[in-house]
Amino acid sequence: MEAALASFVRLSSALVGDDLLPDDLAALYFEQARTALADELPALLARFTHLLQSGVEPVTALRQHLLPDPRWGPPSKIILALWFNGGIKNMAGDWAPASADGYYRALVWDVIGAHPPTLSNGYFGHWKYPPEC
Amino acid sequence: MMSRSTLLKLLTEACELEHGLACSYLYSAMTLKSQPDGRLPAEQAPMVRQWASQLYFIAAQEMLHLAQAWNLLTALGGTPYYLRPNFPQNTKYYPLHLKLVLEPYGEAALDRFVAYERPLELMPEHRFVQDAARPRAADGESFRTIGELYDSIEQGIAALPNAIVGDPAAQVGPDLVDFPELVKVVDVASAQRAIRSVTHQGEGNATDRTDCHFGILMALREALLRAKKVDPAFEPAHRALPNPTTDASEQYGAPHGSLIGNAYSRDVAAAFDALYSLMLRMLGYTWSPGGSMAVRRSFGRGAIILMASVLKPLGEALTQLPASDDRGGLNAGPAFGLTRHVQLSADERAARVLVSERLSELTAQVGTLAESPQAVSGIKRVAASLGRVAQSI
Amino acid sequence: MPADHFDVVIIGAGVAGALIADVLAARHVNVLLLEAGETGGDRGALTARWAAATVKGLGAPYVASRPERIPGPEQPATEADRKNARDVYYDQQTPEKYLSTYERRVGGSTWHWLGHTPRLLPNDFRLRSTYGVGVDWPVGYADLEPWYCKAEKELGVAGDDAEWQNVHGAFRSQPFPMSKIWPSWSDELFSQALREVPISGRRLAVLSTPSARNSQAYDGRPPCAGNASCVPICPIGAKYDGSVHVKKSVAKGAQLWEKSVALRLEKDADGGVRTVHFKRWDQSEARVRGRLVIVAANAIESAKLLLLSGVANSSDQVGRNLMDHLQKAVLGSAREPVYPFRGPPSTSGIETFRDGEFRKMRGAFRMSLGNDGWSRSGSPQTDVARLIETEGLFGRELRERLFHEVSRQVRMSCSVEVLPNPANRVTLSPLLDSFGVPRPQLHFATDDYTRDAFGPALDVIQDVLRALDATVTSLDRNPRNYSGAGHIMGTCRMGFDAKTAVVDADCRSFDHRNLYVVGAGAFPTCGTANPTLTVAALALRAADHVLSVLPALAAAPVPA
Repeated sequence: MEAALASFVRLSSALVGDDLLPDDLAALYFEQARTALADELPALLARFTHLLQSGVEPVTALRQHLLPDPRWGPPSKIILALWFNGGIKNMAGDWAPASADGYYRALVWDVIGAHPPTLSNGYFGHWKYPPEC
Repeated sequence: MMSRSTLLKLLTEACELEHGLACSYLYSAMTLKSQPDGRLPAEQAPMVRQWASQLYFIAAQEMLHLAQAWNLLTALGGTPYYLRPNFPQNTKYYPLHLKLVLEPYGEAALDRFVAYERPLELMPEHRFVQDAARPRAADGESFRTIGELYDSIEQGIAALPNAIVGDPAAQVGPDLVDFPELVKVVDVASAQRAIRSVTHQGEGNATDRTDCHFGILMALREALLRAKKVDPAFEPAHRALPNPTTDASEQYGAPHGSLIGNAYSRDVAAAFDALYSLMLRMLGYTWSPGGSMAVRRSFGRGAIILMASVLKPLGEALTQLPASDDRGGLNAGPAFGLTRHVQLSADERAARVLVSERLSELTAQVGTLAESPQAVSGIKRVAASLGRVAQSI
Repeated sequence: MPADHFDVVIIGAGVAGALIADVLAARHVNVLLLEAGETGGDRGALTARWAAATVKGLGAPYVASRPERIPGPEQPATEADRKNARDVYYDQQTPEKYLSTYERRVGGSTWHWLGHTPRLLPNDFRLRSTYGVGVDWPVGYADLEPWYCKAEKELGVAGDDAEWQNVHGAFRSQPFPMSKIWPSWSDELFSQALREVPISGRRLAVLSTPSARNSQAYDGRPPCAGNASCVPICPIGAKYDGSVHVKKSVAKGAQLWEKSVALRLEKDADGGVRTVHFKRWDQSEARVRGRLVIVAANAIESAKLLLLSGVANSSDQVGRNLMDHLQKAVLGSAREPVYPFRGPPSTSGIETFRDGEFRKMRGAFRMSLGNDGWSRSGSPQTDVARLIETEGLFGRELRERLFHEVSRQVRMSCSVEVLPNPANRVTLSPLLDSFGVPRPQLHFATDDYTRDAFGPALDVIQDVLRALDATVTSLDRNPRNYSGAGHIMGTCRMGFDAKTAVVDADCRSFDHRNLYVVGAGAFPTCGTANPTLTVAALALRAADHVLSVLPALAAAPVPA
């Protein structure tokens, strides 16, 4: 794994609170973030890596150093929203996904106990019961 | 004329078949991948998830058939029957000469499913000639299709004087358990209706019907063959062990099954079997005329929620866990293993104590399994669901 | 017969046209379905296109394969178009806007309908004689009842026989073809609450909504798997759409000419309407002849075509009495999770207020319970963005809050009756679409009859949400803020005579006896039922009538 992708995965894990992010999805979102945040992403990843190397815990790095910061906060939030929503918000307020897969695998659906629309993985009547969540 | 005892025996056979079929369908559905990987391209993943939902639907209808058979059994003076041999089952075990096994979703499994649901007139010719030449035994014990088995039962009930002797209060309808099409059997006419609803959903009478199980399965088979033709490396299912078991002993295990070697996976599979057996007993209790309606409803509902919110995701999680400690080996899967157990007592208090004790034991067990570093995310969610079911009962 | 001569030419391959084509083709009638839209890709490809789309609107799966925009209210071409989506095609100069749209496509707008199929009520057919408002239909509930049964069988309707027998006097002579679509977990919580808490002194019943959505395998289509995406597309075809009968009719010998936009109907010297001029997507023009012509576009396009052709309008009623059901959605937060975004977007409703003496004064309303959270005002993605941007949440905390908030989202809606008003109408705009055809100009305004119904409807919704112990988070009492139901009705009304109506009870033009106009355009009033089942019942009835007149038309000489 290239170093930039590896630090993107470390940053993402801290942002979404999951150490087991799927590699292929990480690669997909990384490409999308790299395109949308061409200027900010390398610096953000370098800053995050630097914080970790100076012994700061990932979550602390986010909470104290990155998210409240006017420079690092906005791109961090875009990456966070990318994992949850499977896309990056455009000017009109719509979430542009990288692909159908990028949309389907967004975290939001699972977190709310649902599934992406058009893809239930369920059988007739499953909506009559609370989901497993 | 068929005696009551023969009729009851035929019905237990129908129960075993419906139940075995349901497990076989469920197993294959649980092996279908819900996320793309190297052998399942992202654009095919939605189609594969749709296949799973079709198979889950058929399995749910087999479960409805089992419940329908329980109504018939109870009406004829019997009690709910849910025993069956563990997998793989011997070909000779039923006159159908079809092997009931657990195997991952694929061409072989679909061929088998199609054969289970095939109407008589579509039997492969060589077997058709053989079978057609073999006269149907007058006692109905030598059926060639599941439809024929039900035909014999229907005729037997019509001919038997005073056939319906069971307590009508024992009958279960949609008011007690979430099967909106479940017919209560209180007389010969409702018995007939019950039987026809089952045969209508299964193989059907006309060969051009696509809305019966046979039709759905044929369509699934065609879709799989089409996808494989486009991409021979296409693999929609996890490579799960055929006929997994947690106990391959001759005693009361599955001696011809494949033992799950990985200790963690085996523990998860054992928890699955324990929950599965508890679910069956809770469902069975719904047919006790002695129990209060509230408890019968709560157990019936609890059983269905266990199936939907616990057994389904737990089974799916198992097909993602390794079967053995060898790297690159097959994955595990749910065994649907039945072992020695007692049915729930008709005594309501005792039944409630047993169920709630067992549920809390199993909730704790699954909770521990969910904390393991080997756990997949599905198991954590199952633990939460189970906790909620335990609370609600 | 020459290749461009047919017994029957049907304009529009939506649910009404397709059902008629199927009935006629089964009787070996030489029939053509002429459709402005295309068949497009298969269902899987359409679904994938929607998933990959940035703007997930109604038309997202159906973007046409043609490079230029296909005329229609749901085919926005650019970001700027989208912001004013409804002005891209409709020409609306009035302060109030008509808000419902449709899809040009083989199978029609049923591709993205919700699938609800309640019947109209007996009093809906005699609004004038019972309540002194609107007009009466030239058919009654009892006349239509057998056709409702047939339509339910054709579309494959799932419903609960016991719940729906005699609702407001609507008797049922046949059972539903399938048992009901299961109510959602959220519906159960509402039902429980309403069993315990009376609303204005009465117990409100929550009924499962009859739907053309399979609850079991039916007619070669699978049972609903709860993909929660009826609008804009069912990925598995468990929900009925018009393409089902297009396929059936073609298999029986009907011809389908897609990508062919009808330009005008031509009147023969004998007053018969037999020639249809049309333009293909490649801009070539052609004509086709039929002994009998059936206009089966939606209520806006059918009226537009008749106006363009100057036919069937001796009553001056073509285009008038445009109706919709006007909706308001109330959003709230329940105390415990109700788990929205699972199952069909709505599975239950309250039918209590669909009829009563109050209809002398104000409109009736149907209420639906939502399983779609707050998707009428955003999506769970909106909630994610809010929690990240305004509350600075991330990680586990974000997950927990997101679950806590979204899993409790509830919606209740009312859908209010609109009276026919001759001033609410479709006319021809001076503006042309990309085929050079005048766009529809729409004139629409609400009246007190409709506006006065919103208040009582919102009161009931508030009481119901209170019974559930839910907090109301969004409720707008301004009667001018509403949304369309997608129920485009009126414009070619049926009636008792040529002076006051466009078609008779058989959907046959009073002016041209070989011309039929089917679809919701024929509704004289709209009641509170989602219109498609009534459209289907009237279409099947019209098809039967067409079969009875065809032999005489076939025997008569056709002018050259």
